[in-house]
Amino acid sequence: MTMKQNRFILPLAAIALSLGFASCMDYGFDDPVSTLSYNQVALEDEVYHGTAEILKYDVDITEAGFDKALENLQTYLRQAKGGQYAMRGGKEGNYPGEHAYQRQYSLGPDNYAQYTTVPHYDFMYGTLQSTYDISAEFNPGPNSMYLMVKNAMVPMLNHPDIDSIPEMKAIYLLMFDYASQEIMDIHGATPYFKFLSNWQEAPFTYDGVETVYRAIIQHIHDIDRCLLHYEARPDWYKAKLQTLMDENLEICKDKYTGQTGVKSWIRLANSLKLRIAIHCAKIIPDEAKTWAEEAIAGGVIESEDQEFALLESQLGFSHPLNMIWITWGDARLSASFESLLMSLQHPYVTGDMPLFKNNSARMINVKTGEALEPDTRIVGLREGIHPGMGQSAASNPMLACSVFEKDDMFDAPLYIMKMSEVDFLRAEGALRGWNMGGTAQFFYERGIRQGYIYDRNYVEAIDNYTTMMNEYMERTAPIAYTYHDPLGNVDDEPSTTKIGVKWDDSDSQEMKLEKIITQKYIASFPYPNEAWVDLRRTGYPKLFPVLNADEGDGSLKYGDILRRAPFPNTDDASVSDIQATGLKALGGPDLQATRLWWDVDAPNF
Amino acid sequence: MKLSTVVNGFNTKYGSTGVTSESDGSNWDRAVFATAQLGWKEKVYLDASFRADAYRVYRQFNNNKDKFYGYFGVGANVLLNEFFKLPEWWNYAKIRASYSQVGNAVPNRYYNSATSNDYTGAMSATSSGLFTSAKPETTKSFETGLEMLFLDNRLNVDFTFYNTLVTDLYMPIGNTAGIVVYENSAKVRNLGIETTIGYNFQINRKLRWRTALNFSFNDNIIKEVGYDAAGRQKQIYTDVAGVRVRYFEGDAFGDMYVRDLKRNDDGTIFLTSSGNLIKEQNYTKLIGNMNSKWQLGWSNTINYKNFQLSFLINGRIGGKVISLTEAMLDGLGLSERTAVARDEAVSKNLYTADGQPAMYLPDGSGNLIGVRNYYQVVGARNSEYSPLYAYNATNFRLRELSLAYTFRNLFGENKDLSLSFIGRNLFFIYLDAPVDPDISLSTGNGLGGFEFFNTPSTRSIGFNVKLTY
Repeated sequence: MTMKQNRFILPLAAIALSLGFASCMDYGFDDPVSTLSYNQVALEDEVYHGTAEILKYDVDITEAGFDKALENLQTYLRQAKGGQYAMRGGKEGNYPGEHAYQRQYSLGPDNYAQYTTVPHYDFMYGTLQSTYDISAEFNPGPNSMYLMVKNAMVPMLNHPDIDSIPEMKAIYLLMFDYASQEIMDIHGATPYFKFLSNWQEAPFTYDGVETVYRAIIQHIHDIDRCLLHYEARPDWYKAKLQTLMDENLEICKDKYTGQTGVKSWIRLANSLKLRIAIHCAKIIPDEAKTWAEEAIAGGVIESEDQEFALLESQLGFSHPLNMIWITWGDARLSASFESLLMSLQHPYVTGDMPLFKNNSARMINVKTGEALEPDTRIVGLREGIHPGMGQSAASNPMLACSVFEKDDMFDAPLYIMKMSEVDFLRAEGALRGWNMGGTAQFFYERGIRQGYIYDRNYVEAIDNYTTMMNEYMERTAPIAYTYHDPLGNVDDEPSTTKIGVKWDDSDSQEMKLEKIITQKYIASFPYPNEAWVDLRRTGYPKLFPVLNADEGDGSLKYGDILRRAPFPNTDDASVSDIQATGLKALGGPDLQATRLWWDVDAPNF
Repeated sequence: MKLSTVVNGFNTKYGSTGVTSESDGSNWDRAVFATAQLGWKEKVYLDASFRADAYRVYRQFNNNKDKFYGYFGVGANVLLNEFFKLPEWWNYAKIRASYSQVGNAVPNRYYNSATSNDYTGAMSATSSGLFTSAKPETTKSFETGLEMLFLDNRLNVDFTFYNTLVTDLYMPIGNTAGIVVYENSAKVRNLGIETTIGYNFQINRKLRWRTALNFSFNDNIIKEVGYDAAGRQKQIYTDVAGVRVRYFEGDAFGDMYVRDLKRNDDGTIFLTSSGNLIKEQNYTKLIGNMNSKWQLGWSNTINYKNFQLSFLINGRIGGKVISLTEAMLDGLGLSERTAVARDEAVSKNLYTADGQPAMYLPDGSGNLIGVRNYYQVVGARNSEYSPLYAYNATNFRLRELSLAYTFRNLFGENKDLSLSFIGRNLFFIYLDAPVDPDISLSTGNGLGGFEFFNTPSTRSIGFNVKLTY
């Protein structure tokens, strides 16, 4: 074969390579960042894994260094602001809203605390056949919101520039720890340290309640020291920090009350420490006592001005429960709460301005045909009942059960730490013989008086409540009360409340504890997390057994209460992590009946 | 009360939630392309090409900003009958082989961003990790084929073998931290054959019959999905209505897993005290693969004088289709199945303790469950107990049948009129599922095997008039 025989056809194209490539290519070739939508912000192309736990508060900081850090942290600060809303059902940087709040509280913890019962089983995105029919698909809300808080705050805690503003670092670490404590008490384990170090890829090693509690206690120690050092700061630093705090910290009341400095945050840190100490009172009583007394010595929340909350009246939104209960018909007063409030004749159910309203529609007994006319009495729905279908009383008579008065809930603060909670914590501590700076009776009574749900400026409601307190607090015994279901679905149930309200030094320790926790329960409404912790921890308040308790995973039976919500993770990577380290951290199988570390099956004293 | 942080802002989104919106889009690729073709004595042809692409989306990543990705392809066709003296009965043989590479950019968007809230001035949390491995997906295919004609060109055989490897497959992977990590790391191989054998029977001058049989086989295997820091396989899946389609190394695309019903130690189904079913939390039960490996088709055309009759039968073997329509109708108690169960409860006097019409659990335990309780759980929207609604997708159907008559030279020389009746998708010869398995929810990954109130496939019967001149 010679060259001559070969007939080449060589149509060669594209010789443009050498022809001023750059110039002809520049035209119209935009960057992806140019088409971000109007409210999208590009984030820093760097993931920091720093020293989130270390508060280097005594290093010298120059004004220029402060300004530079502030500039670099702008986006992080805005995200962390959204993270504060996420602590109480606010997503995508918005104030708490009904969708996230429903998933975080209303479909889950509100019912585990037995404040509410969900009156219909059918939802757009799944079903809830009864209270404990908890599924990872339908009930991941508390964890999703926790992750939102984490993903809003942890990147900044790991950023090198936050070390130039150590007080802010301490405050964000405290908020992350607060959210971590809440989620630990729901599920019993979470990859806390991996999260805190801004770890972003599997595997995640889980940590148990004890480990996380101890870490938080250690952090609070450091946070206290860091915030106490604030007093030694130069004036320019204090002024700049004050502006920064006022602009970015949403859960603190200081900017509305004109308070300056960081004292409030020390009180929040110590109040959280006291909360954790009380959780641990049965499992590690000695350490718990030490922690609690340290907290009191360091200073806890003592007045309404010092409370931590997201305030609707200041920020400009309304409590998400309004939409969830009233517009959507997705929650109703539970029979347990009805029975408790009626037995004690609490102002929420009696007098001229009760919080809860009467039945909204005619209710007909399915067995006897007997009718309860509209607006006759307060009616709760039994916890765990198989709810009906549909969201109007016409198609689903359970919707006729009681709701709250809209005006009362509209501005009801979303508390992070309510003064009355701290008072009840101190009452319990004092009862246990700890030095709480006062008597159990004092804190118990102040807790009740200040424990109302209303916005602190809703004078009319507060006056009514205060007036009624005189009679309420003198009540030495409950009135006889029997829960009667006007729809005839469940049998009559006599009240389980056998205590009065009036403090009596001659009562047994157990009865005093029951009184404290019962009043704490009422005062916490509608924040369910602590109420459910107390229910597991002390068995109080005494509530009705939850129906259909075995419909979750079969590990509970009639008479049992939910000891924890199973891990909400369904993605395969998380399931592997849970198998690898989660169960060990939890200390038991991933079941509803598995008790958390502090939830010991032992007498209260 | 605080005012919105944005004052005098204008955006179409402000009109009303969900009613108006706007978005800005832009995309471009730049490429250089070169191709060469080489022929030798009309016996051998060689093709070669090269292209280099740069994609807009990569400009956001520091490590490969403005990088050009190169791909090449080569191909050859050889006419064997020009090289060798073939026997009398073998008329033609051509062998072809090619190798090509194709790139595919990751979705064109900005990956590392957060949303700012106009009202509060706060921003959403970080929800995606840094996309550090961003690169184009690359499909590398090798294909070889043989085309042959025998017996006076009456018998034709066409055989193709292919082996396609997709590397650096783009995957979003979720995890415990609520962070989605994007990666270009998976590797998937498709290997298969396609064959057509046809014969042209010339029975006499008036009668002709052309028949062709084709079948294809595709085998799909996930070669690699990447590993996490602990050396574990990355966990990738798609969830659809109670079914998890997992992508595991060594498995095929489209394996479906479900959450089993909670069972007692002896394997019977667990019932709660109020007579309800419970589902397990984790997806552990494998119910099959949604894809069919074998596809078959048989086409025929018979000409007799001016008549022409043709028909096509085709179908596939294997795979699963899940009917969410059936599940939803069961869940609402509207299906015939639930009606029969209720009627049976009445006629056989089966009732639960609380007086509901009941049925026996399908586990041989002899335990009763309320018909309503049972179907409300297995047919529960979004968490259907899919094994009950997973059907064998094997089916064969008469895809097309037509009969035509041609009036030749009706209006003069070569001016013909032909009339034909055509029926399409006429009936199934074999079908297991209550729905047409070839209808699918979407062509997205993992969605092929689902049916949810889809418009049924239609049968069409038509009449054609054709004039030729």
